[in-house]
Amino acid sequence: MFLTGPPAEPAGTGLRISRTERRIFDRSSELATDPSMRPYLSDMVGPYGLALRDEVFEAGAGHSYGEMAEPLIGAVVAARNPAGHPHPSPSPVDLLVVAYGIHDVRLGRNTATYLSSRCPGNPLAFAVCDQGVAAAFSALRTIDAYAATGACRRALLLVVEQSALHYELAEPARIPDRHAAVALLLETVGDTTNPESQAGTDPVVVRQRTAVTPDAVGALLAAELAELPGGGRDATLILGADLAAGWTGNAGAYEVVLAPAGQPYTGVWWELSAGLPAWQARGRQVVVAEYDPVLGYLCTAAMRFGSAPRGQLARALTDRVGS
Amino acid sequence: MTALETVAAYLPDRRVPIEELAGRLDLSPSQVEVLRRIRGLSEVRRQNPGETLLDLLTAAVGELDELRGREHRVRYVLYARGVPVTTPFPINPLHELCRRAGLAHASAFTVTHHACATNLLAVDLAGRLLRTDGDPEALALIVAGETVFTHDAKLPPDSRVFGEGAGACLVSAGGTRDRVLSYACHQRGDLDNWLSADSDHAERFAREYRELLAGVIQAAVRRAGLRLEEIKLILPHNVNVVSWRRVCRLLDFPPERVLLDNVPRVGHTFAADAFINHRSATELGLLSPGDRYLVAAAGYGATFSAMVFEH
Repeated sequence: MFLTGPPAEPAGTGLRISRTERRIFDRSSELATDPSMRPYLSDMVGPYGLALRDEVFEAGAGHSYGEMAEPLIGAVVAARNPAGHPHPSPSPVDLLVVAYGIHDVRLGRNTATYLSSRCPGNPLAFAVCDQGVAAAFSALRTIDAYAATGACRRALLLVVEQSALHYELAEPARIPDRHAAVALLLETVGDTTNPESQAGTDPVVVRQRTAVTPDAVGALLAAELAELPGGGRDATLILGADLAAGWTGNAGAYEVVLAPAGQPYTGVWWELSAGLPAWQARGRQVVVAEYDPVLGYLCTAAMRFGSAPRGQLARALTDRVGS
Repeated sequence: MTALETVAAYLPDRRVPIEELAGRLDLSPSQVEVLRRIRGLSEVRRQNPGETLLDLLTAAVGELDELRGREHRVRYVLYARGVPVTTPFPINPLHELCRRAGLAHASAFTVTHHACATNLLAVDLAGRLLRTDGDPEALALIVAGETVFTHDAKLPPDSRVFGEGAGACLVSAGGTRDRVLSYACHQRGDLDNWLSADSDHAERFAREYRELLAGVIQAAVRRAGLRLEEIKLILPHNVNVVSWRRVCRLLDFPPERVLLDNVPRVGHTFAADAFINHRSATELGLLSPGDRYLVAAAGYGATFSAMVFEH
């Protein structure tokens, strides 16, 4: 049971990303053939004048975030000793947040609640959605808020997407090409089961700007990067697709990694997961950045790995939400 | 302390007797009779044909007189949604609501997967976000309410009847009224009603429901440093009156201090029950400054939650 009094006075107990797991799911779930899907979706899309796509039903296409996330939970929270061998008793997780942009095929399922029961610690669990690519950044901010107010020391963020949509689109939108999931384990320093990964690591600092027009994105992002310790020199910048297309920054100042095509909601986190072990080992400043041109959110998540003096990043980046 | 600055509610004018819903909900005449005479359900509110979820939420926000002139202070808009998927992707009523209400500058997202207890999660989360940001003037707007567009015939009869209504509230991190003293949330994913058909989760949910709901109520009260007898009023989720009377017996809590007035005339409005009942309690003069009261909610998945406030 999650039990709390009033939120504690915020303290500098930000969480650091200590480990990640990522996975592509090549096949659809058998749950995509559940006969209850058709009447549910028919009732849902009917008032909007949209038609169902019979070919997607007939193909049995689609996946369930519960099925996708569950194996990642086991993999990412498994404790390991410094030699990397599994520990029989994984440490409990206090908070689990699922972030997605497109819904899955288990339409009425409270998946985060189910996943809580499959996660060590049976954490408080919920989902964040309806915010496009910004949802995962808001999820990180909720995790930060629970940690800062004394309710969380170990959290799991699951960013998920699946590629099947069983009805026609009412307006243009990017649909994922594949079923993908990324799990990020965030811990306070000292609580990690992988202490080497935390040495000199700063907490994740998330910033969101709202009502950002496309023509303002480049300048705003450049300004944020300039505020990083050392002006962001030697930083790795992971850019979402809508940012990459319009990036006019000084490419020579940063190592730029582009989110893979076909993964609009998990792509930047996918690349973060790919590079994390090397960045943790050699020290690196990393910024994950996304822009949603429809909803107007410009989001960054900055993190610093390595032996730099702790706290530089949080001191440099203060105001978290603004327009 | 997280506080509710103001709470508003909206109920559509159209009243629909539960008999009129029987055909659509696969309810037999005898099941309708049980719902009316024993469970205490009578009628629900429904929007007029053609009205949308956006209309419902806009109407609730429109009732928030104290929002006018303070829109710039709203940093977050949280939609506390009970049903996980209700709108075709990528249609986004939440952000359209923000544009209509002059809140396009806010960070807006839906929190869900606590079923009809998502309202209490949203209050807890909003308070923590605001506290972490450190701006004493900042506010969060929570909206709740859903349209009934489908039904699940696998649910028990008294769990198939939903009403349409909406609520909205402004939350601050340091207000002086309706302050949050505690929050208890017990999630039992092993009772997930979407597990395989040959699982006994439905029976276990029914069997454990009273104890689980009573458990979070007792835990929240203890965490607030109170005794149950110090709780002036319980604002329930509007499921049937019989189940609440059973919970009260288990708690040894007087059922007349559970606001069940809205069960027969409004029904269960997903995650909006708390705000609708709060408005009713205020309008009926049931709470005085300093009174401690409790909001309880539960839903399939399963989640059981309780939150203690000081009025």
